[in-house]
Amino acid sequence: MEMFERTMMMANSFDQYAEELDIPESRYLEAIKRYESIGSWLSKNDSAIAKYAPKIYPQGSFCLGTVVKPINNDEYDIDLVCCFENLQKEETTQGKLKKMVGDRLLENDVYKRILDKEGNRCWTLNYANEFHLDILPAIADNELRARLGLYADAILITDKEKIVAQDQEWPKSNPKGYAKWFSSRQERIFIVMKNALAETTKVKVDEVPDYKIKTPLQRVVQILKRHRDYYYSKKNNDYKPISIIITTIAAMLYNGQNNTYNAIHDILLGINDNLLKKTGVGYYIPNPTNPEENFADKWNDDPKLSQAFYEWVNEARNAFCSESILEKADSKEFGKALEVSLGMKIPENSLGREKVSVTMPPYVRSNPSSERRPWGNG
Amino acid sequence: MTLDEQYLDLRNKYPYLYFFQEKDVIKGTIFIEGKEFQDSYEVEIILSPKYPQQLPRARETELKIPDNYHHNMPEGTLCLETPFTIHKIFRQNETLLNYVDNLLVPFLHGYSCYSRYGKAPSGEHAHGAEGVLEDYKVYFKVPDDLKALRLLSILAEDNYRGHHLCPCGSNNIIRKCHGSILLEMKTVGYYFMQDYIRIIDYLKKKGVNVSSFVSNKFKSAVKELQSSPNNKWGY
Repeated sequence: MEMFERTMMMANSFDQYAEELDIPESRYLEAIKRYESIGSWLSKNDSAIAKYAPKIYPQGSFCLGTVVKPINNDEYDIDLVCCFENLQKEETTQGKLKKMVGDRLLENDVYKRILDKEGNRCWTLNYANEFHLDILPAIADNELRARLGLYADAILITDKEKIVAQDQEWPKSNPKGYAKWFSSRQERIFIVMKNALAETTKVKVDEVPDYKIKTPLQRVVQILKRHRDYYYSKKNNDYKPISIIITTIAAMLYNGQNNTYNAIHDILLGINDNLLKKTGVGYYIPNPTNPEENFADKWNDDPKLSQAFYEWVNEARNAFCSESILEKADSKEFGKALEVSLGMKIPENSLGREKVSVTMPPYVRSNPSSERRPWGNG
Repeated sequence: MTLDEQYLDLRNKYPYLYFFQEKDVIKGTIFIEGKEFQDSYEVEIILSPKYPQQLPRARETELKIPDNYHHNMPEGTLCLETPFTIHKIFRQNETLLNYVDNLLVPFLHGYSCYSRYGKAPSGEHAHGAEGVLEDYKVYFKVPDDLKALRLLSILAEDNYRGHHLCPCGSNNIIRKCHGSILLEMKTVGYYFMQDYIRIIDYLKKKGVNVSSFVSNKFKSAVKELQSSPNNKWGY
């Protein structure tokens, strides 16, 4: 098999596995319906908090399209923000805000039944055998929003420990900004794939919902997160690299590759200390929507964290980039290798979503002005 | 540019080339498009631990290109150009992309044309010393073997003197004649002695009297080359 065909075969296998890790379309649409009805419950006329204009929207992997099915478990984690757009920091406290959301949820018989005990920053609703919805109470961060751009949706959130602490500074977050940054990293390929899907399914481009597109970057994040989960399912979890670090590094290193194999290969081989370290700081993986936040802060206190990260990266390199992987004879053998490193099987007849192919071999036009004459030493 | 950065640049243009760091080798497919054809080659680019001081070498792994079409024997790497020209082009910009764009791809393009039309677009060099000598005649723009050799001896012996008479026979001093060409070639940092020895050996076998070229420096270089033929020869 030629290298090009081999690449396509491997990219395709990766996509199949990622597809299997993804939240099924029906469950995805179900989740949207669920959180939309939570939204209307919170902002209903008879609600005491309706005047603050609560808005509910997804954040994290659900919003980025990088959801991964948990190991040994069918319940997906879906993270939501509930932002009170009309409530100022001066008018309330973290404790009050958190309680207002919780109280309103308890007024609903269904939510009351499935509401988990209070989390550190969230309220969790458990939909058995479907998903957990984590609801993060928040207000606008008007200081940061004044900077516009990626900051236009910055928020302030609550933290249980801060509620009782002397220092009552609000933790900052910016999930919409992060999502904008992430999609900017894959904008070009996203448009190409969206058009390709519209063409193959014979509909207008505007009619293709964004969630139907899965770019190589999204696929890589899913595969890497799954590989991490499986790798750590067999050992001590304390040093497991966090998803936001994996997602951020992958998006930083993604360079528009048009297939999942090339993308995962380049991303894994691109990770090194030059990228992750900054003189005077140590490990530095800045939040792209808040440079003051260093996702790798804890690495500088405990070297075991960075060691564990590199151990895992090496494991992933062996699993996905080594020569022995590239030399697998066919998709069956390659699939078997993935099965081992990801700890999962895919059903043989899995059909998956509509396949979008944007993988023409790039011919390089040879430059006629570069006159070269071959020679031989014999 | 670090090797990783060079590789990312390369991959932007050649997405099916993969870097196996553990083996210092880049493998994959290169697709090329000529006026009337499309072609692809499976290649392997071998990096020495001393890269970029030592140049990359390339192999074609599908064995589409027959052994008798410009291979370095016995190891079978491709002879992209004469050694000096390879150095000259690579030293202008010591990156993987430059190597592939300006040396490997033109070579592959040449073979695609050769296999279709029976000739490479820019022709081919003769093999061995003859091809090397031809190449220097082109660089020096002189038609005569011995004149080219005399000019080359200035580079090989490293004894450029601008006020001496130019060995091309123009009756001008070097500075006003071949000076600029020689100095430009010198900046490549190439080990000219190896070509020089080869050409002298070749002319001698042809029956040309080359005794005037045999200096002390030449003799010690020959000795050195015979004791460790792979060190500097390195074609």
